[in-house]
Amino acid sequence: MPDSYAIEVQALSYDYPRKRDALVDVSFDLVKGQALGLLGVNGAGKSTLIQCLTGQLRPTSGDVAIMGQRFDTSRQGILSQLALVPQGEAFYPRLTVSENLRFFARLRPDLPDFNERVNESLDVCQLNNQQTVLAARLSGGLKRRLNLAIGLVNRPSLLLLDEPTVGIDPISKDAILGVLESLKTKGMTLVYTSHQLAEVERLCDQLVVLDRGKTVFQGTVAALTKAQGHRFEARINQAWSKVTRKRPEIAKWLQQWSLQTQDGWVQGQLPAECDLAAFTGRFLQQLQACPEVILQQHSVQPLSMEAAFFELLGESHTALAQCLIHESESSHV
Amino acid sequence: MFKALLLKEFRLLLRDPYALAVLFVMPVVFVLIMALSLQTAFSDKSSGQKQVDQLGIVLLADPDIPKDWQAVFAHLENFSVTVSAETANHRMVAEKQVLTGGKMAMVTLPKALIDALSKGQKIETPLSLAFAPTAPPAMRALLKASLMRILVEKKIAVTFQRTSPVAAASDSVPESNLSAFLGKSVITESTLGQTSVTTTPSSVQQSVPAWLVFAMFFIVIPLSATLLIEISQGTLARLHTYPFHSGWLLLGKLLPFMGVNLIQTALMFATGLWLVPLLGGESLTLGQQAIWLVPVALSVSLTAIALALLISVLARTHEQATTLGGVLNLLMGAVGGVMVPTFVMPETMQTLAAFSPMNWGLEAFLSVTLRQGGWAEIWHWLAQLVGFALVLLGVASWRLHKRLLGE
Repeated sequence: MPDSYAIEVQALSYDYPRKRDALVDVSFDLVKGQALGLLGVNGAGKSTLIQCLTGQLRPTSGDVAIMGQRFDTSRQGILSQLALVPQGEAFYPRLTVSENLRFFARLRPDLPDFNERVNESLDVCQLNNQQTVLAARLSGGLKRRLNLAIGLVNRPSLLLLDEPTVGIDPISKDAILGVLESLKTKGMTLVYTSHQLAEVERLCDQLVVLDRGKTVFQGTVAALTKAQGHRFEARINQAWSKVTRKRPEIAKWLQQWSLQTQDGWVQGQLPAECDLAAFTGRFLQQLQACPEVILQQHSVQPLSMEAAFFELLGESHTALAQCLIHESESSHV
Repeated sequence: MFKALLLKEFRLLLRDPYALAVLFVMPVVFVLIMALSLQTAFSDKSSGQKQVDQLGIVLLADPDIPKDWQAVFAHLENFSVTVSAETANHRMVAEKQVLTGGKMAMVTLPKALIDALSKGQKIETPLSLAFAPTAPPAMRALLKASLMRILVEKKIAVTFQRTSPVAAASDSVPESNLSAFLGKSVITESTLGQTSVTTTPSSVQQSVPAWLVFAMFFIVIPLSATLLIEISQGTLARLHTYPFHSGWLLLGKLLPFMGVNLIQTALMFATGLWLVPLLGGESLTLGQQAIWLVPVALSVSLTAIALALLISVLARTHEQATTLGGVLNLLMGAVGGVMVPTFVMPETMQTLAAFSPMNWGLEAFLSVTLRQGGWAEIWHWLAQLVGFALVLLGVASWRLHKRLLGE
């Protein structure tokens, strides 16, 4: 049902004059009322994609449809339905909170309920007590809330957020995510770019992971972790080196699955296509051939989102991926 | 929507006390200081060297006029006369010398006048005098009187030669009926670059337009403060996602700052008209075609805003923009005749001044206030200003587009 899609992107490519392949053949759809997480390390193409989705960039090739409309024929129609919350504090520091909201609300004279829209944004983002405060004097968290409130003041159907929680405390972050969750339940479509994987996991139904302009994953969070396989872990009562010395066929089998051993532990990542039951059966069978070995514990679990993301981006982005995981863990704390 | 854009800019400007001080207080203080302290330097009591220059005149004589008659007019007391044959080329050179202040006046001596004079007839073809706009009234009167004295002396001498002393006495009419004696129109007077009324140049007439143009270009301070925040924080990108043409955003920048420049213009002219005389200085004269000050102010404003926009999109920080803008303004002001009037500059510096947009604006203002000029005198300055502004706006838009794309 094409009418049910908020965003349809087909084979989208974009080349900057001095940087080719900023986006290469990117395709995805987003159903109305859903939240899409846009992931990727710096320079992956997230901002370029947002600029294409907001009509600031004209794609080199491919097709973008927002709410079933295209920029070349219905630019004003599309823009009247979306709002952008940029990464920076995209408001006027020398205006008060209320003046900022009123200014951005006045830019849409075609919309009714001017005062209601302003008050609603103040309420939703809990800025009522800061109405007369100059934006420059707000704390970091309140500035982020004002940034979001400006995005909401014209009641968009589609809200695009570019790292809206960067650099703020966990309480403010939680408040913003709470607002976004509530907007989503009311039917607003969200596109959310972030480095905070935990936020994306909490908020988003769909994911698009970009790497050097290309889509490396598209689907749900569950599909991402499933697609990247499972983590296997087991512990025996003695060192594996002793076992593999006596039984070289076991060493060969472990090597075949790229499993690592250390003392009594064996662990590794099983590919997505692995038949887990057959693998576990075969592992236990190997151990049964050694009566002196006692299996103390073993487990097979889907990868965490962080690990899946790390795996997805591969070794070339190891450092960055680890950095992202670290950020994500910090946010849990 | 557009009203919101305009109100926003005014509100932001009103909350920037430093910009307000630079835009409104600085130029008024400059005008007061310069107009009052340079009062004598621009008056009749100026230096001796300047007096001698002002007394230089060019005599354009019909080549058919006998040499002895030419010599009579070439030896004017108190004046240094350069005689040239009246040809189109010589006239053009002479006019240029007078307009640029190199000579005080150009005297055209027609053959018909000499013929009438030598025959003792009444003069039908007058001698014409064209003054420099900056020629002081006292010098104008002196030259006119000197020429008139020559004409009367010659007429009396010829009359005496041609008639009896009795007849000559009855024909030599006293001063009260000089026109009946010499002819109805003996000398016609005009000022080059102006149509009728003569004005006395004063320090206030140089200072007000000069420091006004200078102050208008300081619009870069408030404009870059707002625009750089809009660019770096993503506000401009956000504004581009609103459903209206981005041309409104440009107009939303241009019009409020043009308004600011017009307020500056009114304030500066009010200072020259009322405040400077209150403090003992001379009053500013707006000229008879003061309405043309409005298009001049708008053209200077457009150029100043376009330059400010370009500087803002080239700079990375507000500090960079204000430093770059400030230095550029000082250079343009120094070269363009704001700090040192172009008429006291050597020829090479005068040539260089022609490259400064501040000079174009200043000359346009002076054409209206000092030279009593109208559209014919200012259009080429306005064309230069507006043309330059459009080029700057084009480059600024291109650069801004690149910058918004992160290139």
